[in-house]
Amino acid sequence: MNFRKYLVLAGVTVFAVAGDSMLSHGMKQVGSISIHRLSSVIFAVANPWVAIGILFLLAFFATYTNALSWADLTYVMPATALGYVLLALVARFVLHEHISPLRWIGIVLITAGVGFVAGGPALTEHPLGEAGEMPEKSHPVVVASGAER
Amino acid sequence: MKVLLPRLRHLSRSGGLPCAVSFILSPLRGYGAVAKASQQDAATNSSHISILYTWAAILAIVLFSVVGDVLLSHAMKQVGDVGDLRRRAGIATVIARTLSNPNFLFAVASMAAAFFSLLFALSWGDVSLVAPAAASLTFIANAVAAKIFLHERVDRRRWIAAGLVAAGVALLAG
Repeated sequence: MNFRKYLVLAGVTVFAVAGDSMLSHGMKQVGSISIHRLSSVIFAVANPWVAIGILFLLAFFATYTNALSWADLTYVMPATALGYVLLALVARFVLHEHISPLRWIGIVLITAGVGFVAGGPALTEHPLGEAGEMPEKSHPVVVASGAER
Repeated sequence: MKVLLPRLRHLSRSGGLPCAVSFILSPLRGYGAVAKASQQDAATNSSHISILYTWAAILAIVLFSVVGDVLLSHAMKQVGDVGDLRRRAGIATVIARTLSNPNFLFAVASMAAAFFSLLFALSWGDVSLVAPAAASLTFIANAVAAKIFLHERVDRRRWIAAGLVAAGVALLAG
């Protein structure tokens, strides 16, 4: 794990939260869309918040894909959950909303879970993320799970 | 914990739960808006059937999410470390190799299916049930699937982490 990789993981968390929040904000401006006229959702893209939100979600997908190219799924997964924590902290310290005790416990649990995983190796075959020679090494895995499917 | 405790006490007095609920769920409200219109339609159905439908849709979300995540992880391990690949062969090669990987395309299709399952789930059930149930079940199912299909070494450390995160998400989004 080097600095670049931590930056990618941070990107996964931040882009997901930013994208979801902007999309949500934009969709509230657009208003309710009837389930019978789902095609009208296309016009929602005209809302700048929705458009920027989609761009952020694309950035999220790019960083998520990047992270999965050098780390295990079970390593990257908890990073996505940090988004919930980030949302709650923004709610508390930027928007000055109140967080219930149960929610603080949730935040502590997620943070502890992320800490647990982050302390271990990022990739099964290569402890501490020396993922340079991945394609050859991962080949047996490729064959095995290809057959499973 | 020392920092947290006074704050917890303060929060339990102030009882600002609804604000926090509405904010934490705010990302889903965009999708919820789509679903809300059909909630009146659903109200005509019996509640038992709609509970059954909701859980079926939640299971569909979990299934499609897990399949999508596992296939995407698998595809990216085939592509290799994109950072190294970009330095060696350029960004065009990275994009071409990723987009031409069939597992990647199946993964995207599966994630799209998960998204539409979410829309259906929200049209039948409450967002406060659907969001945390789907998210935390996906975490557990992902850990199991990663062990079986991706042969990741899911040691005790990662099992505990998956459990903690799933519980945390359920509490936070619940």
